[in-house]
Amino acid sequence: MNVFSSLNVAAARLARRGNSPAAERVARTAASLESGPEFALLRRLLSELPDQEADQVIAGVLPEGAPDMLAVALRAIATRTGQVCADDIILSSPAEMIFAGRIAEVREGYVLLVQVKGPSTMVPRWMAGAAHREQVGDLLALISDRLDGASAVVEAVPAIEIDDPPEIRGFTPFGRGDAQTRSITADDAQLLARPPQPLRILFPVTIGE
Amino acid sequence: MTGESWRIRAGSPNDRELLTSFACADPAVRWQVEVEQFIQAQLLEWAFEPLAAEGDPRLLLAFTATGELLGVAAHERAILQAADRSQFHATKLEVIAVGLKWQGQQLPTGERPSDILMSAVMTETEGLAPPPKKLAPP
Repeated sequence: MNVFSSLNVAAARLARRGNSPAAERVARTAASLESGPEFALLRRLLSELPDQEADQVIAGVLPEGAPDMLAVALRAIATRTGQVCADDIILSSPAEMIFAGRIAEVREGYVLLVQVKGPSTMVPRWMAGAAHREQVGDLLALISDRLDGASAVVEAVPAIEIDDPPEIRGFTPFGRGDAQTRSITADDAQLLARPPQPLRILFPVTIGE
Repeated sequence: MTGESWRIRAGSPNDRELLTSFACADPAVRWQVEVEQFIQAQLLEWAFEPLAAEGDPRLLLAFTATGELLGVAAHERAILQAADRSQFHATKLEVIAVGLKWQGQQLPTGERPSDILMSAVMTETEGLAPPPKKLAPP
């Protein structure tokens, strides 16, 4: 069984939008992840399962009796993929928004997906079902691919819990997707509490195009 | 415009090679290396993301009269969240860097490259920015 990183899909989306440099960079990162120890472990564990169960795992369902190491391998890959996305200026942009949360309510036509600290959204139940996540407590992610100012493609994918505290992932001030880059903390406010100074332009400048 | 010994222009997608070779970091200083790597590898994509608003974000490049890249600056409009969770419009200075060769130096006409870059950024952003917001600690 060949297993590929989901970053390949992100690379394909970037290529479709005409952003070849970013597509190439993300595809190279995907190849790097696929050659790493996390994928090697996952491939080995999947190869030891019956084909039908291996297919289930790829679809987001851990079969009963699956080895604990399988969940460990999946979490490791999800963590590494999340790190790459958070650190990448394009993958962390608003055009690549991912809404991940836990299903809090199940209704006839929809499920209510709630982020741990954040907003909620309704998801058509058939989408959640297609991702094998339609029970209260299930983890589900929505990947939106913006097409233009008023439309997007939204894909529901199964999510898993990962231990990924921010202090491990690190912080980059350049990521648009990291809320820390847009938040003024109480300490910041203390530092900035004096009246703002007017801008002082030392030299007259005209910007050429 | 230009001073006698410098000029500023907006960056373009054709500036990849120029930015890839831009050096501004002391390799021993981690945050400087982070800035340099961002400029070399990701700044163009940040500035020219296909779905970005027209004219925002902005990338500015400062050159000597002979065409040498002196420094780089970039900014964009953003919505920030204050400590009391209220939101306000702001201009975010994404990055500003002076090339290694020009750090601590003056141009032949006496200006410091950092002053030129900051003047360029402020000239652009003063027309965009809302009135300064006073931030009160909670």
